[in-house]
Amino acid sequence: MSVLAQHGFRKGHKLQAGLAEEAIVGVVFSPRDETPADLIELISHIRHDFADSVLLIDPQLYASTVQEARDRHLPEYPFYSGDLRRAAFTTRFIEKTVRTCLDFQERLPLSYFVSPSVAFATPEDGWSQIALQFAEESMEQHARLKTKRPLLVSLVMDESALVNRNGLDDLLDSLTTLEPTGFYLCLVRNAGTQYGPAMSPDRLANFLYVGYSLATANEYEVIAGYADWVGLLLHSVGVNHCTTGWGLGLRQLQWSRFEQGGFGRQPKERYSSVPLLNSVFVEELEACWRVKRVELVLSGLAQDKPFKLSNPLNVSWPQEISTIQHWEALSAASRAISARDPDKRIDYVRGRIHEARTRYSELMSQGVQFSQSTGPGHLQQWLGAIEAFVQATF
Amino acid sequence: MNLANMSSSDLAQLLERKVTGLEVQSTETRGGQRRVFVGSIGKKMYALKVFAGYSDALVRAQRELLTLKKCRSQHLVRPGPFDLIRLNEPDDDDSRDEEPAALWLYIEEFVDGESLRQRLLRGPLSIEETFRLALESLDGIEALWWKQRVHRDLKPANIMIRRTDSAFLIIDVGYVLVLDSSRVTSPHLAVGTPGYMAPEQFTGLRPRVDFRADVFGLGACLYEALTGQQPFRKPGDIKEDVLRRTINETPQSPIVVRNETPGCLSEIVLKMLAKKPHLRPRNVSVLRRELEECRQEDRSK
Repeated sequence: MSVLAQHGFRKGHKLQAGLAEEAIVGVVFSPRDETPADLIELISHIRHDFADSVLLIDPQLYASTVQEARDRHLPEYPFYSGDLRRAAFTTRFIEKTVRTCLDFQERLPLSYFVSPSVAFATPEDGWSQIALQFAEESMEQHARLKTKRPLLVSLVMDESALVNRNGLDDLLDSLTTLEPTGFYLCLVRNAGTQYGPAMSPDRLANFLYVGYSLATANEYEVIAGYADWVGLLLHSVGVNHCTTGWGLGLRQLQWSRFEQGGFGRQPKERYSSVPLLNSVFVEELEACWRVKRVELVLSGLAQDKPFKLSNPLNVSWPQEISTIQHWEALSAASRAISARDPDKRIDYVRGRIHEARTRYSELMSQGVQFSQSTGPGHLQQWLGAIEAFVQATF
Repeated sequence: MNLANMSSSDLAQLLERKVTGLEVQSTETRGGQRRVFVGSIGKKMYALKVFAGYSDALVRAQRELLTLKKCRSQHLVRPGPFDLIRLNEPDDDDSRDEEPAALWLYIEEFVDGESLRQRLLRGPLSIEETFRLALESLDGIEALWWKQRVHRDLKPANIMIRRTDSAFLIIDVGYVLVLDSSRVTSPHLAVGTPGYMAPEQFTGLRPRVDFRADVFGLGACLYEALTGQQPFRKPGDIKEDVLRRTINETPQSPIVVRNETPGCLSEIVLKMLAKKPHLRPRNVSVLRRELEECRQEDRSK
């Protein structure tokens, strides 16, 4: 797996720096956060400077169903209209939206076309049928373009869609009759979910199942948007690329990103620990340093050096650097999951989870306290999810 | 004339008034809703299929003929030179849609050889023969799928091995499902043969059958060709047991049953037998590539 940046607001030079340092291999661009002219320029520059990078646009049409959405520049794009309700998604509207969306992408030096789509809360609801219509229409329109650039079909599902396995099976049966190159898979987490790698084991198991069915069983290329740490588990079941960004809203997709008043918070300073499979607060890193156990947390990356030499609280840790460190940590962790066979990859991840638990235990036995989102709670959930996934799939 | 008691000479007599040059030679099979005779036009042999003409059978026969005309593959039986022929005259007073007394005939290429079912009575196929069975049958399935058709009844009895070149040919497309047409059979009615039918062919309320049902059927044939055992049937099983196993049980890996089976072939067969369509190979080219790579790997050992 390789890591792509999930582009968003206040990009600064993070994208270029991440690509230059090979912490990321590409970018998923957010039209919401750039004017069309700026986005075109940004993509052109990045393609010019990083010829081999993986570049794609998330059309973010799913935001159009949020009423009075905080969709910023999205209404400036020809394929987007806001405040849509279900009745608006007629066959003609879907055809026009797909056509304008793919036409917009065609003139840009992107690696993939990404189809527009809507989100659905359950695999059986009307929205999922509209999502399938978008997928089918995108296949047709993509064929019309007679292009060699591959198509990824967007699949945007609410976390609630992961509850019903039978419904997911039906949906996957339909999706796998399509012949795109792959899927851009986004999970919208429940409102109020605290940022972190935790997730209900049952839902995570079904999310892994979706990733496995598409990427391994059906050999589609799959890019999991906003996947962050959970991307490691997705990678173990075959997902090719995962994305994460700098702000919390770019690491985990929630509707609040598009809702009025749901302003994204600036993330508290964090350090991403490969051994703990989590991003801990810098104060917690300092607590580990105080008990002389900071080595148990450090990721073995170039950015670690100052933390070895001085109190972490005294280390300058601006978002420009911490973002790169986060991307590098995820890249390093995912590179280590290298076995060809999914069974072996899953076994490897299982081993890393047990190792992380041991490290957490040692740190906590030394008096280090972690918050709910930075503690070891997710590890048990991940193990549960892996077991449930393996049992139901193999 | 009663279909069940029809003899070769009865058929020859009926045909005399309808077509010229078609000679009836022998009876191939007997019983059921259909009789098959062997005939010839010149030196070329044909299978002559006679059935009593109630509406569903008629539509099926028309669909079978149309399918064979549209779907061309070296591994799919070919249609004969005539369209459907009504053998007897309609009763004057019988204007109903359904005419149980109506007798119809259509003809197909006669495959001189034995069915895979007959062949397997003498023991499993060699590994190389199994690869060939897989790839050649896949060619036939692809021809059907290309025209949006699903065979739905792939089983050893419906795969012939031609005597002259040992080629495998898919026959009996009477239950073919045309995905974009109105259906003869209700989507809720199970069509196929227990033990070879994919779970989605007999479960669930929504019709979801597609090409991957044939992948499942072929997977069951390959399993049997490799191991000599049906994947979901155990001694003493009745139909319901077989269907239950098809839904709930994963068969033993072929490599466990027959240890000379290449590991990759064993995996491919189990993947073809996955319970959910989306866990089976999603198209012919993916499956063909996997099979060819596996065959290559096996040959290079």
